[in-house]
Amino acid sequence: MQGSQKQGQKQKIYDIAGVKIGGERGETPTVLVGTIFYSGHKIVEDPKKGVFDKAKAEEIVNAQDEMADVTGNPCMVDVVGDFPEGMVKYLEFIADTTDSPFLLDGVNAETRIHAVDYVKEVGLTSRAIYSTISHTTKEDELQVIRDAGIECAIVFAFSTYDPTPEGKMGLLKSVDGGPGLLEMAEKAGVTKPIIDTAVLDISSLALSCKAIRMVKYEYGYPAGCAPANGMSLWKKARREKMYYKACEASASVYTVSMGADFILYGPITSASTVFPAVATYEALLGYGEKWSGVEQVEGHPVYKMF
Amino acid sequence: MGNEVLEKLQEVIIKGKRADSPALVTQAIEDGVDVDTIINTMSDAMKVVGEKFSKGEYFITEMLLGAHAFKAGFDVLRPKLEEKVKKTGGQSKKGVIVLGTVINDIHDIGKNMVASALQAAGFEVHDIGIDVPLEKFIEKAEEVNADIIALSALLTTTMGETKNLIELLKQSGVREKYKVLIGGAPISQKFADAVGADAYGEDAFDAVNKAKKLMGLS
Repeated sequence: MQGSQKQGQKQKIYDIAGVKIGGERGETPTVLVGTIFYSGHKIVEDPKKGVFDKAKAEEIVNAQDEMADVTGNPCMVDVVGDFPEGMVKYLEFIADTTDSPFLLDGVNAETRIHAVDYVKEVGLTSRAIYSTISHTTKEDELQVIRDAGIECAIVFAFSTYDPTPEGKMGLLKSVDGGPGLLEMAEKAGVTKPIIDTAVLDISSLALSCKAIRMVKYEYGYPAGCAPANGMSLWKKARREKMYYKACEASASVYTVSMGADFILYGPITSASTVFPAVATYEALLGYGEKWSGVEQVEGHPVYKMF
Repeated sequence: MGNEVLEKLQEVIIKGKRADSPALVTQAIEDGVDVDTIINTMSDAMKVVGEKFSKGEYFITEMLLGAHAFKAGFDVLRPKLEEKVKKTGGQSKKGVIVLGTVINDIHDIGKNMVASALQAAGFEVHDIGIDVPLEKFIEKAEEVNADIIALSALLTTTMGETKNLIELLKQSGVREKYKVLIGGAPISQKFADAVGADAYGEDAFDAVNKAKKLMGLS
């Protein structure tokens, strides 16, 4: 199926606060997204008020930036928040600590809406990616995104009724007979939709990757998913630390090899495992594609890893 | 089994073909197949799904598809089952369960699978949805005279609601009336013991086994 992207839609490349995402196979390096302040993250002391170990948080955010610089794979920060007040504290910190784009990943609508209000107020909308527009997103949430002028959102193609690649594709067109997720994103004023093909468990990563190819072929939008969602439930991978790390690296590389433009690779502390693994693959891929006439963007792993 | 429609029904549930199960249940009813035979066929199919999951042949995707295929067929059969229970004046169910995902938690995949697995095992299930305030669990349990209250929590920030429910049951003076079954990704047997739950279901089929134990059925 390699090359089918070229036979389908023209592949779109977005520039989000200097990070390029999307394109033909081997054209731009995969964007690696590390998650911070997630439920159970040990650096968080009070998720309601947003109290956390700032020194440790700074260390791990800087470590991801450094990995991106060393390998050539750009990064984003997935900022998870359970509560509105806490979410704003997290965003204040991230905005001050890194120049990378960040995901407004509130676990509930109230927190997400509060996050949008905050980034609008302080002028950070161009770095913010709304996460996520899904089949449960309500009209008022779409309006808030539109009013804030946020251009980019993760469109979460997950159907509880049909978790197959076809089911995910169907949701983009229509949710329960109504407008599909892409129309919802358009309604929210989102001009840069990024499609997340939703991972349930580690085996379902294979189906999500099939869906990535289908999305890119049919729409040309940047697409990817979160192998981390499969990792967190994968009990057999937890035999020992190094065994887990090998599984984590392999799952990430597999996802990238299937054409993902971004991956949510899990806790940001996994950057030192995931970045070199993915960048090695991408440097090899990029070099091979170069011989087929695909030019790589400046700073691609092909220019950094060898 | 010796009945082509029932064989097909079993097959579509095992293969998770949700679109096909309602028509086959309708066909079986029209052919005059006894309601008990139909539900037993569907339950057997779900058992196969569970066994395949336990053996590592099936994963969450197949479980989810199987559960939806079961539910789609069950929804067609439900009026006939209720009619039969009314006629016989008896209770064909193994127990009454109120099931939901706790407040501030909108995860429903696991809960839905548990609901289908419990129905397939013969329990009367009242699924009260996601993001459910704790009082609602008790209100519904009182309303339907439940045996078990089953709670799902998928977040470390919401798992504590299971403990809060048990406290609320105590405060309301009805703790002894209901067994409490809990489950969800961050929950473990150790956690269930610590909060005083009566049982912990590791997955949908384990939840069925635990529910049977709570009802003294196994």
